[in-house]
Amino acid sequence: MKKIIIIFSILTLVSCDLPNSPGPMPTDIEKTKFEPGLNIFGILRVDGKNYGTSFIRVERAYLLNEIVQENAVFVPTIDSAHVQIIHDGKDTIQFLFKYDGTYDNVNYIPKSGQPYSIVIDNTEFPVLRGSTIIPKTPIVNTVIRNSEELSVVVIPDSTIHLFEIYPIYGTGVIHAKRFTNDANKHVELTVPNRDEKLGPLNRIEVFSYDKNMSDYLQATITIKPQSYNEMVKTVEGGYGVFGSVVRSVVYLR
Amino acid sequence: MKKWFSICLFFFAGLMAQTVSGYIVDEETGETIIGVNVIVEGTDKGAISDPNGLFVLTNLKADSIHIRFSHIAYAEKTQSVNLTDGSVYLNKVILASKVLELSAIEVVSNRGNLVQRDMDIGSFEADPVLLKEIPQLDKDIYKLIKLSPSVTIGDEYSPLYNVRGSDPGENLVQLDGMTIYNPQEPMAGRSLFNPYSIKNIEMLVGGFDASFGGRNASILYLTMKEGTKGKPKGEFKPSTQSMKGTIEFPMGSWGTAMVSGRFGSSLMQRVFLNMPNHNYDINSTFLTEIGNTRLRFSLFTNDQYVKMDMGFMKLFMDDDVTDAFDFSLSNKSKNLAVGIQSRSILSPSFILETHFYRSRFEVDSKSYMFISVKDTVYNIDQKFEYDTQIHNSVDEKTAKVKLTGFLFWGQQLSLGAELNQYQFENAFGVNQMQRGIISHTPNLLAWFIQDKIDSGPVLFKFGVRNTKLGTDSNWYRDPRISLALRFGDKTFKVAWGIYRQFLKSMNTSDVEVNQTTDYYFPLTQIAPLTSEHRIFGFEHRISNEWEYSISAFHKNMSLLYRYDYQLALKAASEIETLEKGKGFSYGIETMVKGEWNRISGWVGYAWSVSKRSYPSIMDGSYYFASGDQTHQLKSLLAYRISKDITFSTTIQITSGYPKTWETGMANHYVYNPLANNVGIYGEYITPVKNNVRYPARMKVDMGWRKKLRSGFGYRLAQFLGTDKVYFTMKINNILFLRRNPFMYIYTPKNGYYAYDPLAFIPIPTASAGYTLEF
Repeated sequence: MKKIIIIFSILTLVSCDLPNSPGPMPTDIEKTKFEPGLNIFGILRVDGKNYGTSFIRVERAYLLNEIVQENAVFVPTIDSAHVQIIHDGKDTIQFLFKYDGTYDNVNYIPKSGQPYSIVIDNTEFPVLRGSTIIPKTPIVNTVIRNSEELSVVVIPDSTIHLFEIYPIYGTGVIHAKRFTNDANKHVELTVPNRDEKLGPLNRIEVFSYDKNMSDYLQATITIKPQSYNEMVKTVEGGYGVFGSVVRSVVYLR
Repeated sequence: MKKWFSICLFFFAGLMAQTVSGYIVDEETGETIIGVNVIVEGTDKGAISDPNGLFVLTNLKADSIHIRFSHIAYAEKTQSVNLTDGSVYLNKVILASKVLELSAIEVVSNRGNLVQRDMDIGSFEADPVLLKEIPQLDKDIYKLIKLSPSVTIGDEYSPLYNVRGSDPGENLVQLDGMTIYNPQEPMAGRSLFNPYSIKNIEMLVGGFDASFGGRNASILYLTMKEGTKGKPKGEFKPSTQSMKGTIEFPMGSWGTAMVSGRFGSSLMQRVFLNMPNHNYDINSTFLTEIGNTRLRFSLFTNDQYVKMDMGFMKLFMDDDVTDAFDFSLSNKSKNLAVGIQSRSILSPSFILETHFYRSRFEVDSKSYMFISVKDTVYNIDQKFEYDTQIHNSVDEKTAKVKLTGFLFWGQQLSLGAELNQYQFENAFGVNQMQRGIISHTPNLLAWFIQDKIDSGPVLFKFGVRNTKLGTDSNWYRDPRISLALRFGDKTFKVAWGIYRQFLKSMNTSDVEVNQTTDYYFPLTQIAPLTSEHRIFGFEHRISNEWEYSISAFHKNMSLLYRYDYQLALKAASEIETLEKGKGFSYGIETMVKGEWNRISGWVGYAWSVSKRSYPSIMDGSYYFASGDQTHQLKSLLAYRISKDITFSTTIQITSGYPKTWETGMANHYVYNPLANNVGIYGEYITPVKNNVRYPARMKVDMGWRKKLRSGFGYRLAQFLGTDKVYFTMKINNILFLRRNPFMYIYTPKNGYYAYDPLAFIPIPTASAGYTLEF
C-alpha cells in the first residue's frame, strides 16, 4: 500500500503545472511550414458613377507572433506592390497605392459582362494572379407598392451568382437579404414601406456578385483555434479574393 | 437413395431433439432476471438468461432431466423437467433473492449473456449499478463507456465518441431497441439517458451479427427497467438545479410499469446570465403478458434548450464594449421515441418477435458572433461577423419481425426483416444566407438470416444481412462470420464481416460553435459507407473472480464520405456536398477484470492507429483521424471500505488527440457594398489536417458513497418515509493543476496558452449530495 501511495504522490507532483504557465504543449506529428504570400481583397465595381470605385487591398499573410502591437491594430499592408488590371487579356492599367491602404485608379471604370484579370508583383512574394467576369446588370422591377409594403423582382442572368438586396430607410439600413442565383429564377423580395425607427423606405440597392465574390462571401470560417478549415481563395499564388460587383438602385418616391 | 434417407433421418432426428425454454423472474417483484446460469445437471449443456430473462436449452435428450438455476443474488434452485413427451416451455421460473454479503461491489458484470456475449468478441458490458456506486461518473452512461479501451475521443468536452477508429456518426444507440438520434446533451458532454431508468447496458464494439444493422462501428444497447409486481420502489434525487427520480410499480393484473423523469434548469443562470436553459426527459415502460406473449411498451422523450448570449451582462459593460462585441448561440433539440415490442413463445423451440416504433429527432442550432474594433491608424476596422443556422430532423417509423428456431445440433436459426420509413429534413445557413429545407423520404428495407451452431467446443455463427435504401437502390449483401473455440477456461475467437451504413451524419465541429450535434441525412442514390472488420480474440477466465482478454482488430473503411460545409448552401442535395474517401484502423486491446478481496473493477490498455484519406485534403495523403489516440490506459476500481462505504477511482491516461495546428494567419475581408469598404479579421491558415498531437491526457477522479444510518440525511429520509439514503461525494481532476487542453489560444504577450475550462481555476472540483431510495 505504501508503494502505491508513493507512486501516486510522485505521479501527482510531476503532473502539476503552475496556473500561470502556458501548459503542456503538443508534439509534432508532421512539420508544416508557413507559406508566405500576398493576401488581397480586389473588387471591380460597376455602379453607374462617372469615376472609378474599384479598389484592391493588398496585404500579406503573417505569423501569429507578428501581432505584437501595443496600441494599434496590426495591419500587414503592402504599399509597394505593382498592381495591374487587364481587360480581356489586352488592355492593361495600373492601380496605385493611396493613403487608406488600398490601390485604385479613379479614372478606370470597368464594364459589365466583360472579363478582367489581375497580376500583382512584389519582389518579396510570389506573383499573384486572378480573374473575374463582371456580372451583367440585372433587371430590377417593382411589382407592388401599397400602403404597407413594396415588392421588388430581380431578374438575373448566368453571370450573377449572388445578390444582396439592401432596403434603405430614411437615415439607415435594415440588414441585407442574400440570395444565390438559383438557375436564373426571378428573386422576389417584399419589404415594409416604413421602419419604426429609421423612417420611410426611400430606395433599394441591389448588389450582384460574380462567382468569386459569391464563394468568398459564403465561405465558412472557424472561430476555434486548432480547427481544420479549407480557406476559400479565388486567386493563384497567394490568398484572398479577386471578384466583381454590379450595383443597381431603385429609387422610390 | 439410402444416403439421402440417412441424411433426412439424421436431420429429423436432430429436429426432434428436445428444448426447454422459459422466463426467469424475481419472486418478490416479478422482474425478469438477466444472467442466470441455467445448467442441465450431469451434462455440459447450459444457457444464460438474456436481457428479457429468457433462457433456451437445446439439443436435449427425450428424458427426465434436472435443471439448476444459479445467480449471485438469488438462492439456487433445481427443477425437474420431463421431456419424454416432447419439448417444454416453463413459462416462469421463480427465484428468491438472498441477502448479499459481498466483499466487493459487482463492478464487472457476472451476469453472463447480454445480447450476444457468447460469440461477440468485441463487447463491453457493465452493470448499471456502477452509475450509482461510482459518483464521479455523474450517472452518465457515456462517461462509463468512455472507460472502455475500445472507445476514444477527439475532444475533451464533446460527448461524441469514436469506437475502434471509426467516426462518431457510425455509432448506433438503441433504447429498448429503438434507435435514438443524437443521444447527447448539446454542449454538456453527457448522454441523454436517465440512469435511474436503465436496467442493462451493453455495448458491441465490433463483430456484431447479421441481426444488427444501421451503423458500422458500435451498438450501445440499453434496456429500460420494467416495473415491479411487489410494492412500489424507486429513487429520488432533488437538488437546487435539478430533480431526478424513478418509480417502479405494479398495475394489478395488467402488468408492471416504470416511470422516470428528470428536470433541470438553473435559476441563477436564468436571472443573471439570461440563459433560460432547461432540459427534461421522461422514460416509461409498461410490461404485460397475454398468454405466451409478452408485450413491452416503451416511451422516451427529451427536450433540451441551451442558449447563451451577452444578455444581462451588457448592463454591466461599457457601451464601447457592447457596441464592439456580441455573441449568441442556441441549441434546441427534441427526441421522442415510442414503441411496442412483442415476444411470443410459439413453442418451446420457436420464438416470434416483433417491434414497431417511431423515433423522432429535431434540432435547431444557431450561432452568431460579431466583433468590431475601430482603427484610427490605418483607417481599417477590425471586423468580424459570422453566423450559422442549422435545422435537422429525422423521423423514423420502423417495423421489425424476427423468427427464431432452436433446432438440431444446438442450432439457433433466426430469420428477420425490417422496414424503416424515414423522413429527413435539413436546412443550412451561413452569414445571413439560408438554404431552404431539403427533404428526403426514403424507405430502408432489410432482411437477414442468422445461424448459430453450438456444438461441443465449437460455437459457429454465420449470417447475411441484405439491405436496400429506396426503390432505385441495389440490394447490398453483408456476410458476417464468427467462430469461438472453447478449451476449458480459455476461448479463442475470430470474426469477419462486412458492414454498410446508409445514413451519413455531418459533424460541424470545425465550422460551428455548437459542436456536439450530428446532423443526419440518407445516402440515397450513392453507395453506402462500407467497412470490413477482422477481429481476433482470446479470453481466459483465471478463476471465478478474474479474467483477462486480448483482442486485435483491423478495419478497412473502403468507402467513407466527408461533408463539405462550404458547399452546403449551393447544393440541391446533401449528396452533392460529399467527397468520397477511405480509411483504416487497427489495434490491440487488453483488459483484466474481476475482484480481489474488497477491490473490484477493471484495468484496460489499448494501442491503436486510425487514419483517413480524402483527395481534397493534402492531395489524398493519409492523416490521423480525429479520434486517434495511440495509447490508452483506463481503469475503474472500487474498494469496499466497509459494508456501508465504497471508495472508487477512475483513471484515464491516454495519448492526446490529433489537432490541426495553424501555421499563420491571413486577414479575411468583410465587404460593405454600401460604403464600398472592407473590414478585416484574422483567419487561421491550416494547410495540413491534424498535424500535431495534443499532450497526453491524464484524468483521475475519485468518489465515495456511504449508506447513512444516522445524521441529517438519515433523518431527512425518515421524514420523507424512504428506506435508504446515501451520501455521495466526488472529486474530479484530483491531479489538480494538470491541464488537459481543450484548445490553445495565442496571446501576443505570452504566446500559446493551453486552455482547459474545467481546470482553469487550479483546484479540483468537488461536490456532494444525498440520494434517497424507497
